Parts: sequence; C-alpha cells; structure tokens
Amino acid sequence: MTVKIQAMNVKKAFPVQNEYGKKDQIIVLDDFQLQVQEGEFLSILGPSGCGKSTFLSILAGLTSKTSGELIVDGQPVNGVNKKHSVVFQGYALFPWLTVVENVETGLEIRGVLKKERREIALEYINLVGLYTFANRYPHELSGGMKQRVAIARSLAYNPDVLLMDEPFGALDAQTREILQTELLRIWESSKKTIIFITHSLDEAIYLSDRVAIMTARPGRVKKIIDIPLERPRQFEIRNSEEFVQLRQEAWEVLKDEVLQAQGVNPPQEGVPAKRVEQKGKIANEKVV
Amino acid sequence: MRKWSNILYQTWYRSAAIVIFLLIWELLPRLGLVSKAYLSPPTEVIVAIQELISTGDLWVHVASSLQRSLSGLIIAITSGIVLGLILGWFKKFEAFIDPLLQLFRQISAFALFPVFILFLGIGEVSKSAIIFWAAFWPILLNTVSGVKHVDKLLIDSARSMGASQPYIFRKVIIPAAAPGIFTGIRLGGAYCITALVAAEMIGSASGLGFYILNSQEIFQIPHMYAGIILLAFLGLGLNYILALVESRFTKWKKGLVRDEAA
Repeated sequence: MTVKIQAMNVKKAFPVQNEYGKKDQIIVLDDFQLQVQEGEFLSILGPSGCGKSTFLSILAGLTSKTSGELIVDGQPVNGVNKKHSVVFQGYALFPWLTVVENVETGLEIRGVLKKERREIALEYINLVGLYTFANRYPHELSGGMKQRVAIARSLAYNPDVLLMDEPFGALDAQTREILQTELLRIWESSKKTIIFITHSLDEAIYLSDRVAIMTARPGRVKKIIDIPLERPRQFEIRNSEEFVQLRQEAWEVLKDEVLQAQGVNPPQEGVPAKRVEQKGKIANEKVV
Repeated sequence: MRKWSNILYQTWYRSAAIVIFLLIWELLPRLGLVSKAYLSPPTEVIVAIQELISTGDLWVHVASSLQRSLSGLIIAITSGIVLGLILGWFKKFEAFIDPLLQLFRQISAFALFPVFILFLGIGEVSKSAIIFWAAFWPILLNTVSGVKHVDKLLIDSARSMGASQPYIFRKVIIPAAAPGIFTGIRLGGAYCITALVAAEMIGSASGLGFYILNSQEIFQIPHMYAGIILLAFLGLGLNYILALVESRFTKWKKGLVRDEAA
C-alpha cells in the first residue's frame, strides 16, 4: 500500500478578539498527525468544534494551515488540488443550475466539451439513482436527493480523493442509512481514497477501514482504530458483536473529549472542579 | 360550475378596491361634495385621455418621457451593475469607499438639479442626469450587497472543484447575486419615474410631467388628472417589463418564491 496523504504536526490558529477586545487566537489544530493509504476509507471522528472540518478544508486547499507539513502524492499541498473533490454537509449545489448542469460543473472547469460532459454527468446521475430528475432544480429535491447530486458532482470529474465533510449530517436517519450503503457500493467499485468526517460513531465504524478519533480543541488525532469488519458490509453488521465491541472501544476513547468539548471536566482529586472556559461556539450538536 | 363562480369571485375580489375607489371618485364631484374645479370625475378624465390620443399629443408626451427615463435608467443600470460587481468583489476597496457612497445616496436627486442645470444646461442632458442619479444608487448598492452576500459555501464548492477566479465570478457570483441586482433594478425603475416627473416640471416643454403641471396652470383639470393616470400606467408598464426581464433571468427561482411578475 502506498501512502496517499500524510499530515505532520499540522497546526491551525485563527486570530480572534477576546471579550476584552484584545487580540487573541484560537488554536483549532495542533500537532495533528495522520497518514492515509491509497484507496483507503478513513473516517475522522471527533466532538463538535474539534477542528476536523478545518483539517478537511486545509487538505482541500480551501484554508491555509498555520504550520506543519501536509503531503499528498509526495507533493506538499499548495492550494486546491484538482484531483480532490469535496462533498459538503450543506450540499453546496448551485440553485440556478439543474441537476445535470450541477454535475457538469467540475467537468466544465476542466474544459470538457458540452456533449461529452453531458454524457458523463448523466452517467453519474444514473449511478446515484436520479436519472429521471436530471432536469430538475435543486430546490425541487429532498435533502437526500440533493446530497446524491452533490456526490455525483464530486465523482463526475474522476478525482483520486473524496473529502466528505459530514455529508449525511443534515439527513434523517433512514435516508442517512440508505446513502451510507450506497456510498460503500460506489467506493467499492471505484476504490477511491475517501476521508469522511463525521460525529456519528456508527457511521464511522460502518463505513471505514480505519477511524481516527480526535481530541477536543485544539484537535489532534488521539487514537486510530482499525475496523477489520468484513467487506462488502451489509447494514445488519451493526448488530454483530464485533461491531458493538468496536463501538464500545471507540466510545471509550471519544467520551472524555466529548465531555471536555461541552465544557465539562471530569472531577479530579485535590482540585476543585471547575468549568472549562469555552470560547466561540458551544457544542450543541448531539454526539451519538 | 363551481369553478366558474370561483373565478368570477376572485376577479371581483381582486378588482373591487379599484372599482370602489373609482365610484367614490366619480361621486364626490358629481354630488358636489368636492368642487369640479379641483377634482374631475373619472369619466371626464377618460374623455380627456381620448382627446389626447386623437390629437396625437399623447404620443409626443409619452415618447419624450420614455426617452428621458429610459436613457437615464439604462445608463444607471449598466453603470450601477458594473460598478456594483467590482465593488462587491474587491471588499477592501468597498469598505474604503462605502461611507462616501452612503453620503451620496442621501443626496436627493432634486437637490442636485440646480447643480446639473449649472453644469449641463437646462436641456435633455440634465434631465437624464437627475433620473440617472435617482436610479443609480439603489442599483449600485443592491448589486454590492448581492455580491457581498453570496453564500461562501457556493464559492468554496466551486473552488474545491478547481475553478479559477474568473470562472467563479462569471458562474457563481453573478448568478447568485442576480436576485439582489434585480431588486435594485426594480427600485431604480420606480425612482426613475419619480425623478422624471420632477425633471419635467422644471424647464420642459414636453413630457407627462410637463403636461400635468401645464394643464393645471391653464385650468384643464381633467387633462391634469389624465396626465397623472397615464404616468401611473407608465410606471406600471415599466415595472411589468422589468419584472418580466427578471423572471427571464431568474427562471430557476420559479416555484421557490411566488412569481411577482404574474
């Protein structure tokens, strides 16, 4: 196996003003280490605000890092990599374009001619099961359908790496499960490298080869758990003893970080328990 | 059957306010509650409009009003959009220039009219200039805010696919800002008609604004009201055309928001 992505000591700090109007900074990522193999499905799991999305954004070239090294295919990351594609939680479809025009966007940017890109786009729309909706506008689709379009769009220009930022976070449980299974099917037939951000334990374990669990902010990888579950995976695998054990193991690692991210410290001996000060957004999303 | 009565009811409901208004307007002077010297009943106004049409005067006045308002408006639309796109894109410069723009925006076009006359004379150019000034600001400011408030996620999404800056500008910023730009254009259209009347009431020998004031001065009261009504229709027509253009360009919004043009 070849190393596809390597992150070494990646740090990200945002300048902010504190409540006294003085310059301060929020350190989102610090000492972040990660290695991703080619063709691997890796999930990054962490409490809200731990910087997992920030890491993805840096990897996508949308945000710059403060320091550290980030290497993809042996080259340091410098701006947007045209072989990467991103799927956002908020779908990020262009509302003024039809489904097929949305899917064509990446191809258009790459200079693919109109007729050819339409053919390719329709092929991928078919892959996500939306062929009959090709000429609809995004606002005519449900959330699950929108995310299918976004996935088709991200695959259409045949990237090496798929970066998925909580793609199913806004969907209802049933839709989410269907899309997870479909994503696995697509990944198994294309063997792309996928980095998948989530805060759902089940989702991470069900989908991934490995799950990287992050600490609360400033985020770094606390532990990487191998998921040796057999593939192809069926939905029922979630009820298996192996799955439940992996879930328990991951939860043990994640639990303290979730508490800390929510501003609660486990009581310590000899020290009066005090609340950890939270700057910015308080974690209000429910961590499963 | 039921459907027909429903349509009939809807038509009545949608036009009742206007019909009642016209009735009251007709009755007030007819019953002598208001002197006819001040308020002509609508039937007389219609006669006056017919007269205007038959003498051909109508076209003279409407044509010169249209020419002034459209020339001012078109220049305001093109320059407002181009400048607005540039200012919205270069945010630092926009932050620098914004206080000045806010100040200019507050300067009434009518207050500036003497200045325009001073610089441009009392002819057509100063009239177009006052219309331009009135219509330009809403178009510019709405374009700027339209561009500034484009969802960052959409820009990120295009960037993540490897889009260049010019591509993002053409294919993301402009379509995303289009609804804001059209709000500006519609406002500009409304302000343009207001400014038109004022411009035509000062130093003009044609146009509906001139016609209204002139009719009052020569005690042709039905004609004065005829001019006012025609001006209202001109404004309605302009708004309708602008709404039509808007719905043509923002077709994708159909069903998303109720179509205002319909």
